[in-house]
Amino acid sequence: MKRFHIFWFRFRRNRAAAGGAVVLAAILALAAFGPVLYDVDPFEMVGRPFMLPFDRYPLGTDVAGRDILAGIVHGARVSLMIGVLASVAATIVGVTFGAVAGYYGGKIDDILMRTTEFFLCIPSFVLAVVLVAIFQPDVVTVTIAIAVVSWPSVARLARGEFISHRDREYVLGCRAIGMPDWEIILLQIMPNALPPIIVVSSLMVATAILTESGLSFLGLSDPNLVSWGYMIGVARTVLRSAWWMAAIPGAMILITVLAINLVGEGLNDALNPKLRK
Amino acid sequence: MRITSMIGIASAMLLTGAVTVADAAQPKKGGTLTYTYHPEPTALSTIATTAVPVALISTKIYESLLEYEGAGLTPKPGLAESWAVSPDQLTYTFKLRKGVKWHDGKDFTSEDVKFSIGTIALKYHSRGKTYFSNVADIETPDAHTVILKLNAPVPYLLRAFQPGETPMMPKHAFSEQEIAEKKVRKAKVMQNPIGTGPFKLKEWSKGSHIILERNANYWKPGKPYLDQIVLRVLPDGAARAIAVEKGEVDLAPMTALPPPEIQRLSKLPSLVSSQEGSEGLGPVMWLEVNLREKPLSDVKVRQALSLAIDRKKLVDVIWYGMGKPARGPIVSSNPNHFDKTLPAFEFNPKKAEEMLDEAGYKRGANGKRFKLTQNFLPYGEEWVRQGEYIRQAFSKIGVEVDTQSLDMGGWLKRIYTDWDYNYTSNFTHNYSDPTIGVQRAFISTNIRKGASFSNSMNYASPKVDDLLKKAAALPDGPERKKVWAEVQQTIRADLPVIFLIEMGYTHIWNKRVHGLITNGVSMYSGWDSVWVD
Repeated sequence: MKRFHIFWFRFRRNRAAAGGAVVLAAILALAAFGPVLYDVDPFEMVGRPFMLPFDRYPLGTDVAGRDILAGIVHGARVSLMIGVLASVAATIVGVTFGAVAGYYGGKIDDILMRTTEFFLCIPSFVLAVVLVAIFQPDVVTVTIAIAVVSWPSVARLARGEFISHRDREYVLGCRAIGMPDWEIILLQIMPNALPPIIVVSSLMVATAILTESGLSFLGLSDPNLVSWGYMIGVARTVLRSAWWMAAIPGAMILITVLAINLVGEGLNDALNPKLRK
Repeated sequence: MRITSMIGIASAMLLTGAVTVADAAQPKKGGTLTYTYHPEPTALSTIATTAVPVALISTKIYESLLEYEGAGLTPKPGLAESWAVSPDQLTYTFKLRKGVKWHDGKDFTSEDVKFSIGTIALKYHSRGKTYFSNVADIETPDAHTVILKLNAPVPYLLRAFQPGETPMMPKHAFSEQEIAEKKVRKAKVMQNPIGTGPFKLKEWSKGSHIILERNANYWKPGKPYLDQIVLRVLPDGAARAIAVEKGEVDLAPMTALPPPEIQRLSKLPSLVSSQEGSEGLGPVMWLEVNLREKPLSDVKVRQALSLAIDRKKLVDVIWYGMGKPARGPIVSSNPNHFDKTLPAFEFNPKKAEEMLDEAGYKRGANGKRFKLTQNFLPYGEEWVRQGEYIRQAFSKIGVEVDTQSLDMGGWLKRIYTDWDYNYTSNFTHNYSDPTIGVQRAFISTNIRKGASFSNSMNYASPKVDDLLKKAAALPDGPERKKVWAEVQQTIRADLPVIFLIEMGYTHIWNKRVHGLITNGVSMYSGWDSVWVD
């Protein structure tokens, strides 16, 4: 509890981070309660296409006469969900790879790190496009594809942390009393190595949302779900006659990604105070 | 005052008259016409594939025996100066024009015609068998006479001699080996086309453009007017629209632009938009249904699904008013074969629900009756939007739909080779005669794995089969019309496909282009009389 208080104190001191957290909370609330409060099907043709915002519908209608606000509200859920899940999956895989490689070193390290580098040397968005195109685009494959292109950076970071910890006295002490390796990795080193990883994976949520938007902009998204990137993709062809159709979901992505980045920065400052100096 | 205004009107009339006359009588020579269409053609001859982009470009290079006039495609002399049909309709005699040269300078003769029909079109063109399987013999008594002898009358045969349907190919350009080994589609001349048409290939830069240049030795004196025809490959719909708006591209034929952009560009003073000139194609859009599995094998279910779709809304919102609700397999603009008594398809979700209840598919605890997977023709965004609408419409009557997104290759394989689908959006052309364009989708002999745009549904109705065979042999007239009416009624009752809309092709061109619309297949014509300011 004490540790949390220190963390919270430090986090709050960073005003930008606090602001980001407020915005992010609002967007999370939108995703959680929005579809319940504004219960309009985002695929329903509610009226004439190209209706202006603040006319009959708060944000107007899109090229197929669908309510844009409904799309924003439902899309928030999909965009955030894919972002968070992909980031969690990438973190779990990355930390596992990095922890094992960093703790054991030697041949295991070589094998795991060469594998990681194999993924690192392919441009990540291109790899994601290829993965989604090979498997049929649906919400699961999109999430997996984003996780697959995101985990290597976490693995590198985790490995570095584990290397720096594995020869410290507390670890040597654990070994001396005969603690099994998994217990040392999970219960002893992990809590100490976690702060920088939390920062990186929180920022990864933002990248994942952007990647998902990029994929659905290219039409490589789950055709049964609305996401913000999908909405931009739909509006792209009419960009010059109805710019707001793409600008509204675009602004949502911008705000969300910005908020996550600010929060991530704040976490960084709060969890690694020494780094600041 | 009165007199002056009258003089004003008179002079205005004179002026407009003069302008119209000038427009018709004084075409300008020279200049380039640039057009755009997506996707890029995969070949330069309809022998390889009859896909729209291929037909657009190859019809400028190759010609056929006849040319056609008006929306109803009245035949007129082309490479054949005259023709005669025997009273029993079993002998067709064509007198060929003298002095016609291939692009490589060799003479065009009756041997080429015999080769093009008997060796090429019959075996390789996707509709060659429909036209020529009744041809018993092709005689060439001299270099400029061709006689087709038939086993049985083929009432629509005179419509076969369009440049995209039966292109004349140079016999001398194919090696014997290419013919013997059935490598016609891969023959050298298919890459470097030699035709008799008004234009010849100058350059094909894949992924960028194709340039056709004027054939200076064309047989029509003084034609073609244009120096060049350029196809610009622009994969992005918005980019195509901008190119047309800015005047970089002169023509976007056959709904080559996204519907909202067509609507916007139609209002610009520098552009002309027209739905004329495609009467000979007759595209009908439908949901192709796989009849092999439950619940779609049940006609009541299909009727219910049909009732759930608001076709007017589909036309107005998804296609921006281009087209009209379909009433059956034949387009309503076809005066000779369409059955005018067919009513519009009803939109009645309530009745649809009752029918599904009756068929034994009641709503479950979660409000759903059953689940289907839908595919859509991957021809662009409009098709995605349409799929989204249909999923929505079906969900309202308790039918859950999952959409599956595939590229062209994957789609063709799944629908026509694997037959592994529930339903998909699709369209086919009626062409100038329903036996050519409609029969192929509904006759049971066309349930063939791998044959694209065939009977993928597994629809086998002995009654329809018989009627189709009967219609193919009858000459146009009241009796044939009656047979076709029965075909349409039976297919509507069986609903092997759920008819959606008759598509309206919109062509958009720059005002500087003249003489484009000449007949019912204007975009598949040679464009020798097209000119630019």
